Amino acid sequence: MNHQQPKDLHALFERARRAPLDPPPYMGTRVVAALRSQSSKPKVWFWQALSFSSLGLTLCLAWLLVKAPGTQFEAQVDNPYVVRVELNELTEQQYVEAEIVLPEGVEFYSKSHPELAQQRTIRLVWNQETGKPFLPFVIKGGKDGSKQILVKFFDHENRMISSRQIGIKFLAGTEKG
Amino acid sequence: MAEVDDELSELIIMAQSGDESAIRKIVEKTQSRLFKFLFYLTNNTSSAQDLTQETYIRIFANLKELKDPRTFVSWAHRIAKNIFLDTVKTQKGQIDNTLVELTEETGGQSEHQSDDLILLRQGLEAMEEEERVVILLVDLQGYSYAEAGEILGTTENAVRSRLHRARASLSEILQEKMETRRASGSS
Repeated sequence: MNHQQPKDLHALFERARRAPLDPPPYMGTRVVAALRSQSSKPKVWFWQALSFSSLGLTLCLAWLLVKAPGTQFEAQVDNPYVVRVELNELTEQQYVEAEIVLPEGVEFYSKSHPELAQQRTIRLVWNQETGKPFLPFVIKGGKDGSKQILVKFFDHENRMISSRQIGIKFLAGTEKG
Repeated sequence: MAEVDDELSELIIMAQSGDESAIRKIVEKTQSRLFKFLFYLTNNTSSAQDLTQETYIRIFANLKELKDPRTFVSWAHRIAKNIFLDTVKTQKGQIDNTLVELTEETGGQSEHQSDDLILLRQGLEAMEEEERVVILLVDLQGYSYAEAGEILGTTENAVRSRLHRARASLSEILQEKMETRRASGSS
């Protein structure tokens, strides 16, 4: 231990060392899952890191709230949209991974991870610690037309427990829904 | 610094053969320390979670290269540090903390931390990343100058010098923040 530092700093770091800090739950499970699928599937993301971009862009974001299967929405091309998938029947599970599969012409949108736009599939992790009964992610349509987004849910043993189809009709800038 | 006990050493050897149960146990035994390091580096719960996972994936993907299990924890810190600095370069030095406000996360850990620790995190965030890394390795994680030098790939003297500058920088930043706080409190 090096004590040649101002007393205040030493005391602060001492408190920081002692202060409890909860590590993310199920980290071991996620790491093992990611190692297993490293070559064939995309990594597993914490949804909080992807679901929003910046304060400026919240004005352009609209919610697409997906509660029931088969719900169809309309959206404008080239505008980012937050899709919130309600998890009510899944909240008995303590830990859920959601695999989101996008059709051609739709991409993931994340300011902090722009490389995600190149991926057609990502996995997000949700657990009861978040306290939120929904899973959000952000997408953007590049061309008009009706598209289907598939969301599959897996438990901590990678068994599929549920799935949702989200239909979105993308409209070009001059069209009105 | 005694960081790797016999149990952890044995688990590392088992994990090198691909034992998933051993991998889970290693994560369980070491994640608090690693997460704390990345949390104070990033001042963002989500980023720290993501980087912690990235670190473990890289650790276990390369675990066979680790010759001496007793160096596991310092090796893990080196990987974590590299991933953090790579992320900073990719994002042009800016971790997007507005994400925390939008998702109503309130920083996650902030609700449970005292004002002075929140101030410390803000002070660290205002520092240059290289200085932040060295001060956290020594003053938070408790590594000696020599151990920190191993992690950083530099000499003990270089660590000493960098640390001296980092502490001076942090002290100045914290002083300014406290004065700003007092001034806004009294206005």
